[in-house]
Amino acid sequence: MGDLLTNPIFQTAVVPFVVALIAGLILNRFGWYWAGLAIVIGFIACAWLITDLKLFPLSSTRKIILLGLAGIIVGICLDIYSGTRRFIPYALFIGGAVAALWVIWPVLMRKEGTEFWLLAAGAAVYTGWLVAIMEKLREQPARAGTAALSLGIGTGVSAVMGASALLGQLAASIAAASGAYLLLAVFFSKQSAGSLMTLPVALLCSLFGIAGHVYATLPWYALPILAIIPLLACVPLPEQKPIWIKIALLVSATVPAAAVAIFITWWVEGAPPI
Amino acid sequence: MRKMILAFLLSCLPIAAFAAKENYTIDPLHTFPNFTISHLGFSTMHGRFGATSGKLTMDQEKKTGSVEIVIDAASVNTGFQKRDDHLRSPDFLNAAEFPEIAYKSTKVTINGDKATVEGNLTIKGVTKPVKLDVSHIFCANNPMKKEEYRCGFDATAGIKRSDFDVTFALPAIGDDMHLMLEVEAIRN
Repeated sequence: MGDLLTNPIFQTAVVPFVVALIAGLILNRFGWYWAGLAIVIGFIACAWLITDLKLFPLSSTRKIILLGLAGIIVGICLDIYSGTRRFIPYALFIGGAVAALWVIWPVLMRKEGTEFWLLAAGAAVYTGWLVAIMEKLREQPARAGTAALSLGIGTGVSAVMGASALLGQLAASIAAASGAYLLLAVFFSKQSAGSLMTLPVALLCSLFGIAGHVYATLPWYALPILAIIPLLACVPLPEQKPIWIKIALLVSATVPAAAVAIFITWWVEGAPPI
Repeated sequence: MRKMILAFLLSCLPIAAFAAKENYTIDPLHTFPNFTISHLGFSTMHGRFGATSGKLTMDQEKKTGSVEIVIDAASVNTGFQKRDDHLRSPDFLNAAEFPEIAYKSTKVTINGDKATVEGNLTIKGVTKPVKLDVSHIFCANNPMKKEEYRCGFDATAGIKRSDFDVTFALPAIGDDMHLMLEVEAIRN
């Protein structure tokens, strides 16, 4: 059993998928609004196996996990909020940008001049963009779920090739949990997404990508490719088709972007030394 | 006259103290921290750090001294570039976030050509007490450069990487690490 719990495939794929599936089925008793939480619960299960969910001493990876957990709370608040929502994407953009700067601060503070501004701006825009654009998908569970799946695959595999198996496993677990979420969406049409899913997923995937570049060797030019995944998840869908066909179409629209990012990383860094 | 002699003797005291305690600067070209660790139980992997700096003091009369060594975490070298990239990543040393590994002594006891150094080792922002066993202390003029006086020694220690928050891939990649430092320093 001990060997199984430390097996990377078990930690990254099996556990988050099964945990997300069970969490989604249990949470449906409280309404399918909570189904989006299943993805984050699947991620937390993987993070617990790999890191024991130790948050201190605070490192860049632990900051990201902490921000993901905070994203759930902020996401629930956004879903409860009943006022005007026009300003929310802008506020999320700024919040995501600040989060990115906090995560990379130890490296950023040692840079000067153009290097400093390029890194700060790039990290802030990438995270802010993903957080804001994923918010647009909060009421479209199939689109949000496939965006999460492709972001998780693209970020996870790229991070592994970029020399960090830890960041890669954590990001890829989001893809596995998203797979379970999409499976539930096929059978339960009332499933919702909500900011409680889109915000933590966008935060985690974007910050793992940024950390993969800053703290490992993930090439920065793979990140803009990943950034267009939520846009690709907005492709027009045939209205009358069953949900599983819509999900298949969305996956076929978004996964190629993840594949391109992975290819770019492989081209620059080569295969990981397994 | 007596006052003059007394004043002269008193003024010699600090000179005597400086003569007993000597300051050295670590020679980065001849100082390399090395380590070994079990790789999946198959073999013992060897690695070293290529960039080190620091200073030490030795007081041969009082048989004591001090050591401060700073190691560039990004200079890790195991002979395989991709593994070195992995060791520098957040999985292990997280060298971009924690660029320095440091050792600072708290107590040094010299006994002939051996010594025991008690001090604190800091890896990845975590500081723990570690004792170094020093052997083969040798000090002399550099035969290649007569005006240079240097001291050298070898030091070893055992640590658990998990004590320093380096826990990725445990237990497949071993927890116990054997440290070996080859140190040379030039007298200031």
